[in-house]
Amino acid sequence: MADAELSYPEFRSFLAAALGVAESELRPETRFFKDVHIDSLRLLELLTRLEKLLGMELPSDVAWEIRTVDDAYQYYLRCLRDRRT
Amino acid sequence: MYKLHISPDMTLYEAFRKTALIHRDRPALTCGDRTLTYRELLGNVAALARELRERGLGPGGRIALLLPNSLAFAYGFFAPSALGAAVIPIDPTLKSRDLIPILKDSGCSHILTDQNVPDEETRIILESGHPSLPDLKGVLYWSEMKAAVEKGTISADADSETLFPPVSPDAPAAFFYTSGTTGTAKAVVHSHRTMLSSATQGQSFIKRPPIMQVVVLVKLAARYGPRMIRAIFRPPVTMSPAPLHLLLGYGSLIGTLFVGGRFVVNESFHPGKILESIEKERVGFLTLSPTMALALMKSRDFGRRNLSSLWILALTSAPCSPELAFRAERAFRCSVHIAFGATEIGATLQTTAFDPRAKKRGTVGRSLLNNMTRIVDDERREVPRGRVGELAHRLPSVMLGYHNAPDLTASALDGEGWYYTGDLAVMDEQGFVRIVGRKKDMVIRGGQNVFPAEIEQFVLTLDGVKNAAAMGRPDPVLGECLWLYVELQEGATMTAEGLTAICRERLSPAKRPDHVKIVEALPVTASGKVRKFLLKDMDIDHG
Repeated sequence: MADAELSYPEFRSFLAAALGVAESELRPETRFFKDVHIDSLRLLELLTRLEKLLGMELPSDVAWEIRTVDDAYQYYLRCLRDRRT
Repeated sequence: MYKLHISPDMTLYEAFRKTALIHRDRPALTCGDRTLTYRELLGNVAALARELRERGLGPGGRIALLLPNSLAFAYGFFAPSALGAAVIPIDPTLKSRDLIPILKDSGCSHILTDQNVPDEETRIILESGHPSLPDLKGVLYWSEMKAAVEKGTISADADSETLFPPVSPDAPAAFFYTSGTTGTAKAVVHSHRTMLSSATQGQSFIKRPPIMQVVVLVKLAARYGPRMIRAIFRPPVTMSPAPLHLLLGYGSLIGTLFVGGRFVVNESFHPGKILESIEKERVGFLTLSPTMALALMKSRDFGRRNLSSLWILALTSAPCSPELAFRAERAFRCSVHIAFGATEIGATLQTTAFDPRAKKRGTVGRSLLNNMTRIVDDERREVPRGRVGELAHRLPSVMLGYHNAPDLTASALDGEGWYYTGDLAVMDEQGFVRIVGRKKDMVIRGGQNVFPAEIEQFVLTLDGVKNAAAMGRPDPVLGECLWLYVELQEGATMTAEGLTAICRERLSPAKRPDHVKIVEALPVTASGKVRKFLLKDMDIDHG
């Protein structure tokens, strides 16, 4: 699981399930706080799911730094790359 | 050694003024790059009080404080008490659906807020006047008052005492709104006396006889090194990065100011920035919820910041697992205290640096005042040590009652002054208390109390919903998270995603369910009440 790269639609499905949001609400530019009203505590919880998905520990700061769906996906891809190298 | 110069026979403003005049040029409050001395802070509080008086606030009045963590919040917290008015600190993130009923219930005549705080819908409602808010005389924007308040023209130490009317210490000083078991928010009302009792009863160390203080100092030095001695002889630098409208925030603010310490205000919670602030401001006393502590320890900056100034980390506002307390003690390398309290009564129980580690990790501590805590059965008779019952306290800091809710007040307070918490607990022979459950249906999500009844009542107003049950389930990050189970009417096509979207749109952040599940039928009793304990056993994918 940790090494299988999710495509953007797959990651969006993962995000929608983790945040309890309809997939159709999540576009790359969707902002967590302003557009879908997800608070940082919820993003902290998302992070623990992302840790399971990636099989690695992630810093909590990320929950306050990823602003959009695309931020989250790019962060996921970066973690995956870091993990492989 | 720092001292308390206040007594519960004062008003909040008198106590603050007296402390400020003693400490004058010491730093009192830091927010971002600004640090105010006690003299400056008192001047600004007195100036705001004068501005509020000119706008019609006076004895018996009430003003809602709808501000985020800021210097303005601190001025606004103390200024109304100078006029004999009560302050009502309110969560600035509330949506109008939650905010308007609170403003209506409180009967406030003024609101102090800022242009960018209420959302647009709320601002329009407030400015155009709402039929359910007939008492509201004015919405005051901080940005329009800032220049007048902070110009410092008032001679705080000369005339502020005579500027304002005499106020009884038993008059209402503050209304704190919390979630309600009946589905609507309720206000906990405190007088000046109960607020000041709450701020002083935690100062157990400085109430000890001098010889005991020396013994304590020697023990502290032996365990934590000389930094502990240095720390205890200086007024503390404290920080609680929680929202200031919550006990975790304002309790720490006033507790610090009344001993001449410096409180560091954090405008928002970001783990890296909080750690940077602890290092920069040399914070000694840090108060966190368990979720915040976890977030700090998992920050990428945790190992990079110098946290050696810390001497006490207090974990409070939500149940703290023994594992987290142990982990925090090792990570922060300071004495970890577990504290327990409630808005209705302030801080009540705590562990200290000298309590055995097993007690610190497995309990919420002992009573701050002797014989003022007991465990009772359903008839409110004290049960033997080691038996489960409801936790009750009798302390000078017990609230006056719930506003506009005599029945609720009567159920929480008895004629002898005991407050029944609704928490199920066990007390051991040494007086240490362990919380084992809750008598009332309440969820503590990330340190904030949420009553499922409020969410259920909202969901039941939606078309297509037949029945609903909200409940808490354990969560590794939040402590507890909110699950909402919904049974639909026949033919209804609502989805869990759709329901989630509606909740996000119309409920305030703390009340939004983390997980929504549509079920075929909710298990109910003969009278139609949902049997929530059966829901706990339902096979649920927790992801």
